[in-house]
Amino acid sequence: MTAALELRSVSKVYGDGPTEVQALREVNLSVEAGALVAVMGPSGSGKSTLLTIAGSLEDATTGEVLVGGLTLSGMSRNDRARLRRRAIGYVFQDFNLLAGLTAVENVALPLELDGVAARTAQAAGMEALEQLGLSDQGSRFPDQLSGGERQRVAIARAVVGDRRLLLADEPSGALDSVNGEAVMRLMRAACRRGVAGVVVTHDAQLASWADRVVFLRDGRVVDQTAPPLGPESLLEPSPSQ
Amino acid sequence: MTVSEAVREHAAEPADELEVGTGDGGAPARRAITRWAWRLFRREWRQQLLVLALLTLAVAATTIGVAIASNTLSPVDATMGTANHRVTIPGSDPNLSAHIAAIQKMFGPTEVVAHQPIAVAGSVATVDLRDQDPKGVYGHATVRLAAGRYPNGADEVAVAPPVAATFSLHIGNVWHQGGRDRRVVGLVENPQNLLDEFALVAPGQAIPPNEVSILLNTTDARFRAFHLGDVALSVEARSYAGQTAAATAVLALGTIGLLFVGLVAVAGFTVMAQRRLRAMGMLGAIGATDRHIRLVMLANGAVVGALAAIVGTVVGLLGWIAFIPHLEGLAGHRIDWFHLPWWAIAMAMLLAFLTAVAAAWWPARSAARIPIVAALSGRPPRPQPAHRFAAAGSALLLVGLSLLAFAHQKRPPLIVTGIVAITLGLLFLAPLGIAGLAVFARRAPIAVRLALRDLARYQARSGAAVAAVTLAIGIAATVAVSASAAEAEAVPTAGNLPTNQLLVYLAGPGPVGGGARCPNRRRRNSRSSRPASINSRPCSTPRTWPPWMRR
Ligand SMILES: Nc1ncnc2c1ncn2[C@@H]1O[C@H](COP(=O)(O)OP(=O)(O)OP(=O)(O)O)[C@@H](O)[C@H]1O
Ligand SMILES: [Mg+2]
Repeated sequence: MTAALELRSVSKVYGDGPTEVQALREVNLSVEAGALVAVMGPSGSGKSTLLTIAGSLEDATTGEVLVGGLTLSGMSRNDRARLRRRAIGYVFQDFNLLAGLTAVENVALPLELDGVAARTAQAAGMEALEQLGLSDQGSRFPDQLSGGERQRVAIARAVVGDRRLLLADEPSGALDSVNGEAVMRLMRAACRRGVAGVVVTHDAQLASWADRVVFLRDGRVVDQTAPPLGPESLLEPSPSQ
Repeated sequence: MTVSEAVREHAAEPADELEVGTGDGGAPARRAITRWAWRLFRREWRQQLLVLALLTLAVAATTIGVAIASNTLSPVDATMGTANHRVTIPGSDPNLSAHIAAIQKMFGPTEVVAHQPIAVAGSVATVDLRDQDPKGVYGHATVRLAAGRYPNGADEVAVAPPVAATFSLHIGNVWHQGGRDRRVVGLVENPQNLLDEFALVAPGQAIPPNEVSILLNTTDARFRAFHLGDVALSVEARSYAGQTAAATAVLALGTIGLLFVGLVAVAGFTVMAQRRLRAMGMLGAIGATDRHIRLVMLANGAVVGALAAIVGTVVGLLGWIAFIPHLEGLAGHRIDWFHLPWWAIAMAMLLAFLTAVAAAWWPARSAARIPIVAALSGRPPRPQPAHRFAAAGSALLLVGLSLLAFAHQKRPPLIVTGIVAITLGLLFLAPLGIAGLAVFARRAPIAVRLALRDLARYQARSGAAVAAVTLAIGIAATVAVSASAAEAEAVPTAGNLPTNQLLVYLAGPGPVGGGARCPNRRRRNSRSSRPASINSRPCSTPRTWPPWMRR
């Protein structure tokens, strides 16, 4: 089975000459469908860069990125846009929702951009919101939602339709621990339905929701381990136990 | 089938391998983007108030301008009504009835109006005693009852206000004129010429007619093919050229105004695009194509343009209607508010709409080009190297200036094209100027330094603003220079006498140059296409005083 996301010797260099920054060095990473991977590392270690390259928002300087078996290099801008609205869901630390659109319209937007009629798309959006326990918030605008609710709506938008890859850059960075846990629980649930997830976090407690933790330092992967037993291990017996 | 299944079916992808087609979402995507742009406009219209107001003002001013321009000129012949030809036959023609019958047979519906002049004591002007059907096919537009009723019998008359004033007549008075007594039963006016001095009598009462005019509608070619023996016909054909030319000139001015507004709009929309940068980055991150991102700004421009076009036209029309009573007094004829060059107003609306969309196009294009990651972090696009556009800018500037030079202040198409070229040239040259200014920033005090750096950092909007300011100054300078040039060239010809008065200078002894200079001056007058009536006035210069004025 092809991996939902695969990075092969990916490097990224910003700038040139004296201002050159090597943000990623020879990074290899593979994420299977249904797996949730956490990325940790000090500030400036290249976590966000890894995510933007994996999500086709930026090009790698060298190396290859495959999403669902498709190589990103050589893909036209339009094809990448189409890939993003069909296969890749993004959640950022803040500023995820478009002002002026209600929660359900925000969730339905990727589908509408893909040509799904507004009514069908919004019904799908409502379904996604219901799954995340936000059925009451559908008609509210982003500025009428709390920070936690906004992040949950963003997750609903990232998984609506038939997304295979969920990329989240510190999704709980601006939330308290309760809301942070809620966000991670939702991501975990999405992965259980077959989505591959990559989440950047500074919080070891939240990272423990993942199947695997990747440590970055100075743009290099320095360690990939199973996380310490986290809260979720208390809820369900893992196969190794 | 659940909704998810429907969506999945729509996506029509095999479960494992991804397939990425090339579609861009079609109409549903465009609808979604337009809906979002409309919502954003509703939230942020206050920030676009300047652009909206300027565009609205430009459309309103153009609407009022073309309305005034096309209504101020009196109809070419105010007694022609809705006919396009008028044939006048002298009343002395022995075969008058036969000739009228021949014309009626040839041209179908015609209207016959008989005229008899009435002398006014102490004046060279006469009053036209007119026998005309007030409900005539063509002439009805030239007669309006202001008070009383139309004359019926042989001894009744209705007079126009100037006639009533001259002869101190009121309804009910008896008017002794030309050896006849007629009772004044009404006040009439010629809506197309309020100064028309005429008196209306019942059909067949202007006998014997001095002349008979026949109003008809036909083509010039058909009329030329028509011959009527050796009778001395006088033929007039209506021309709309003057009105159309005036409306066109105003429209050209409006276009130049819109150009200026367009530059301000570019700056305004650029600021707007920069404020929306992160949202557009987000849109890109969730899969919008470049075209979708451009559409956000273009839809905004279209909304602004459409709104300004509609509101501007409504405001312009209301202003026009409010101004009509004043204008009627100035123009000397009644004005129908609906009688407007609608094509010119439609053009002004379309131009305003296109200006707004075109102004939004540049920011839309640059917004779509910003890398998504840069947009998400709110970084403005890196300024383009200034010298890249400088060559194109200089070339456009040169082309524009030469077009203006060739136009000799007379050919609107050349003038408008020239100004468009100059504006674009300035737009392209502005970054160089800004870059030049930024060089001084290092040594400037902190406030100036910040301002200059900001100017250079947000090149798109500062470039547009600089070009707008330059264009405004340029237009003002051009108007001032060409006005003073025209004034220097013009010769004081006409005084301020009304049309029916003459000023006669008696040449005294000594070298009075008036006569000698006249021919020369006439030539210059006709070249500068002034109204021919000026030529009928005596030439005068401030130095040729009449003898009784000389000391
Ligand atoms: N557009 C850019 N231009 C130049 N350098 C950049 C750019 N984006 C990131 N970098 C550099 O690349 C390196 C990695 O940045 P990145 O944002 O991936 O770090 P991060 O691990 O996400 O940090 P944080 O935890 O603070 O978010 C940093 O040194 C950063 O300065
Ligand atoms: Mg980061």
